Amino acid sequence: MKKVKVLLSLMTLFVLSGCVNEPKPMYYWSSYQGEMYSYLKDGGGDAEKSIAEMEKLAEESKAKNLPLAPGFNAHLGLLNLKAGHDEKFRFYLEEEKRLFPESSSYISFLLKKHNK
Amino acid sequence: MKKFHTKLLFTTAFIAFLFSGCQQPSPYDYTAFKAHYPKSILILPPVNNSTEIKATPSIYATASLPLAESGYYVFPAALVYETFKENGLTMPNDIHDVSPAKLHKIFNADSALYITIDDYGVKYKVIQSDVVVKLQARLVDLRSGETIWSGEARASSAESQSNNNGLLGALISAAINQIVGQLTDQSFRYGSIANNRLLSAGYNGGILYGHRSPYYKEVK
Repeated sequence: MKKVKVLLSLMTLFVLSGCVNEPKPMYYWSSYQGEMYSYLKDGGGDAEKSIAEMEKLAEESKAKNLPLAPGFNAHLGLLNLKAGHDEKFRFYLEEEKRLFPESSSYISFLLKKHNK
Repeated sequence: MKKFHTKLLFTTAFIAFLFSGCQQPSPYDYTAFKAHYPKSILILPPVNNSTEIKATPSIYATASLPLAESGYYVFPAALVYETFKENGLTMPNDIHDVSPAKLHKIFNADSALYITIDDYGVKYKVIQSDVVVKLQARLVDLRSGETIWSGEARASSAESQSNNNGLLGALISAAINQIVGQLTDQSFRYGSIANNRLLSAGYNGGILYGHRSPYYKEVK
């Protein structure tokens, strides 16, 4: 009888702990805001380092089953442009456009400008 | 005798309850907002009226999160910043002077957010130094040029309790932990909290939920 009572208490505790879960966010943010801050403050320094960091975040977002935030792909594209990877710049901008059609006009404008 | 006292007690309590309801703030007028319901928001580099140079990049970097989480597409801050720079505009004051029509032409955004930083940074005092951030913002429909929403918010280390509400508080904490450790920049943290309060949907006076949000309500 005592065992059942203990088990029942544990089960209740387990169920209740699930009840205080926060609502799921829409996007995976992690250090993306920090990356933006870094870039806006002084150009962000080493672009390759930031690219590596953001690619890591992209992988983490898949593991967490959360989509990347609006602007994330575009920002990664910009970093690649800075580092001289034109193909990746185009790839990530197209990704931004695909995921967020609200951006398509602006993205097309940016791609056209860099199509020399 | 006992019955009479109980009735009086309940009547008094009920009347007090009725009058307490009269102190509620008037509901925000969302007529203009609903008339020009934006799907996308172009956040402009914030105008800085504080003495801390880092205020603009700091507030700019953390304004996207609450708006995106409320269901709006927000344009990528770094690319927007570069676009203005390429057009000879680097000062937020000058950027805020660009006409809504021109902004609409370049970005094709439904609306633009004009943030002004009224205060940002550490207030050094004899007994205790505080971090204070004060923001105000207005949302302008780029097609009509009409202001559809305005608001203000503040955050300070002097507050008695950490007012980080649930989800966004957790998001901010997680994001901040990545940054504060590197920069030991407490102002950044409070800027983020102020942005969270200023730009989240779900309370009277706040912006409405955007079309991407599960809480979005279609207007008929």
